[in-house]
Amino acid sequence: MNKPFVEFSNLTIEYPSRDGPVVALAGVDLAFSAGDFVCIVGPSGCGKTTLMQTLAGFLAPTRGRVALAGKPITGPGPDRGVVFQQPALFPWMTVSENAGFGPMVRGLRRERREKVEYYLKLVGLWDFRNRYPYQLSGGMQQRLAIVRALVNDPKVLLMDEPFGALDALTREKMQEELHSVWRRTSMTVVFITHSVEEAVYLGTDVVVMSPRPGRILERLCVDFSRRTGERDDIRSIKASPEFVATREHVLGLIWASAD
Amino acid sequence: MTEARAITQGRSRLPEWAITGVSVAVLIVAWVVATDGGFVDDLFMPSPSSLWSGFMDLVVDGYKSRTIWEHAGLSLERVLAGFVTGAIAGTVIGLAMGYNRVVEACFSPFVEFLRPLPQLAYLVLLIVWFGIGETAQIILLFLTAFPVSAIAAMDGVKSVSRQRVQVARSLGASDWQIFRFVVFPSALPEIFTGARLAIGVVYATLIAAEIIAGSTGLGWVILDAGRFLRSDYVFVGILAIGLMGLSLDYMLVAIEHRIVHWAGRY
Amino acid sequence: MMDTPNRSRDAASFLLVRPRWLSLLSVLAAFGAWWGITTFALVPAVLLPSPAEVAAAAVDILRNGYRETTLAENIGSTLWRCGAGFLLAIVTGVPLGLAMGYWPRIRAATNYIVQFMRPLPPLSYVILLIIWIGTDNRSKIALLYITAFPIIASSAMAGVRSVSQQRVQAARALGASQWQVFRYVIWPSAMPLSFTGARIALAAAFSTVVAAELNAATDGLGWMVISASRFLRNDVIILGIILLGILGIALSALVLAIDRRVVHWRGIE
Repeated sequence: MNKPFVEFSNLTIEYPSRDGPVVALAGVDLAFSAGDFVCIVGPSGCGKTTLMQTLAGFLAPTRGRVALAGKPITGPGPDRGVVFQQPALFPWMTVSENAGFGPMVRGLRRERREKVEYYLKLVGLWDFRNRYPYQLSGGMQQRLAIVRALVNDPKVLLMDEPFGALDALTREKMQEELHSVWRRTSMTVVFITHSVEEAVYLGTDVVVMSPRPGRILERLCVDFSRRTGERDDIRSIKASPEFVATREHVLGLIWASAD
Repeated sequence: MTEARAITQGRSRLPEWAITGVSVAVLIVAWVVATDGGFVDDLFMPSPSSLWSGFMDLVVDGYKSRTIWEHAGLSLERVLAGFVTGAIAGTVIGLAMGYNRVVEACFSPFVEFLRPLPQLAYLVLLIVWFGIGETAQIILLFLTAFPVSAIAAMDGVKSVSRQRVQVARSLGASDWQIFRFVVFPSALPEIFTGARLAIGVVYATLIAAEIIAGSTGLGWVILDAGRFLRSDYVFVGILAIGLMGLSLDYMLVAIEHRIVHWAGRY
Repeated sequence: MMDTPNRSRDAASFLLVRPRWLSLLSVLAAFGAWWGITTFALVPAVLLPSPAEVAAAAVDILRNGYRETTLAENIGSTLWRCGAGFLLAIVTGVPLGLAMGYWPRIRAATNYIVQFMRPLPPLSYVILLIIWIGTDNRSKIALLYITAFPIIASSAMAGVRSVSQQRVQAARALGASQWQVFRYVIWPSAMPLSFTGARIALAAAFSTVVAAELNAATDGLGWMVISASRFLRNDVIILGIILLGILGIALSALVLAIDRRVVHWRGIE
């Protein structure tokens, strides 16, 4: 492995509670390079979200450290875009105002217009630019939340179950779109999901976590997302014996850890 | 959220608006029969014709040297003066209380004390301090609107979605920008709900204040007319107060729909 | 800025002071200011009595009463008027509101009356009630009844109308009769909104009772305050305001406690 772009070293997070501290993460070591698409899977309450919140800078480590490009993380910043399961849009702003929020608060007026136009066109929201979020469907809202993060040109995109609230068909379409954006920009993505299939399909790396206290059980390198040519048929990839075998392997790990 | 009854009940023959119409008609007929038929003294309940002539009297000749419009205008001025100042001050303090626990801890005892306190109790003190007149009444209305708006704004800030703030922060927004672009607009629907509550209480308090310590205004008109047993004027006054209250509320709702167009939809 | 896991990022803990103590401190500061203003005679003593004078008035009224009435009588008659009007409104308003929510025809026949009464300031018909009923307790109780009734009826109606169709369908599918659907599904589903309405109605009745006592009364806390103002007894006025404030807080806390107990599922679903 070449020099790590994102690095968690011995990361421990404890929450205080009435019955003493609860260990959410216990000594997590994880590193990956720029351009990786890291999918994190695990049972509910395994600390996936906690892991993401520390990288985003919303949560300070109890012990250990998190670093981006060699520098320790001290708080949230525009180099890391976040997307949650709920789109968390600003309903008082139009679609294009939502998309341009990052450049707006950072005072980058000129970049704002062209970036917003580029990304809204890319995901098919340009015609809706003057609408308000409540006039969009759930899938469109989540697209807008992703665009809002992308317009800010983050080095890392952090996504916490971004497609968890969508119906199955919309979900697969969004997987495709996200995948094509990632191929185009070669951005680093950290992607948390409950769906093992989604993780194996999208990720270059799949990280499997144990139930609380959260630890890393296994890290697999998968290459379905890097394959070109075959990509145009999402169904045949997901049905291929190789894909099914990988998916079942990961599922087996999660089942075994839950016992 | 549909009607619980929808399935279990067969179609009614009469549409609902017709039932309302019949009910209104029955009430009016009962009123006419009771008053014009001589079953109820005009002193207790004016007949439709004496209500109309009472209304014309108040419009044309006015009541005690002022027309009904002038009385209504004076009431409206007081309501707006007290409501606008009280709601703005309450909202500013409430936002600060929601944002900062120290501010909340310092102000909440007074807000919590003021809120359930019957407004008329401190009217008496205000009259001792400022005398009977506009100052005492407008301060009273200010103190009425203030806690209602403060609590609404505080609750609004406290219910801001954490994720929305996190997203804004990770996009590079400063503390002030988060307040300006995220927290304040998030709290706006509750601020408006508070404003509607506040104007309702202010209006009710104003009428009470005029009855107890006024010499002008719609509330005073009905009290004074009541003393002279002019129940036609009393009824006209009550109807005017009701209509003015409804229009104030509608105005605020219209403004609310324009400004917080997303409320309840996202 | 970054949260540590225990989210202790607020300024209060930074100052190492608990918010509760800060509140106490701020109340003490207000008392201190009051004491200071009166001690150094910054405003004429006629306008603002000192804390000591108010305390003395409290002791005096506790011992000797105020103008032939004891404090307990005044508090009692205020609470009695308020409670009687409020309970009458509950007893009549809740059934009517439930019926209005359940049967569209009853709603069509009566709702406009309730909705017309609701925004009318109660004091606007106080004079009418005096003409109709007289100046005794009955007209005051009637006033409080009319204050509370439309609020309670509309919220009970809104409660019934907010019942989710699915919940009703689930109960019917499980074999519940019409009455059972009402008893076990619609009534409990309507309770959170009905209780909210009752809380608002009680607060409104309490505000109105004091106003009602300012006119043509011979006892009650409102009467005590207005009578004191005629005799320029500012110490009694301030005592009355403090008592009314405490009583108001206690009343709303009581109803809130009952609400929490009865509607324990509020806000969870």
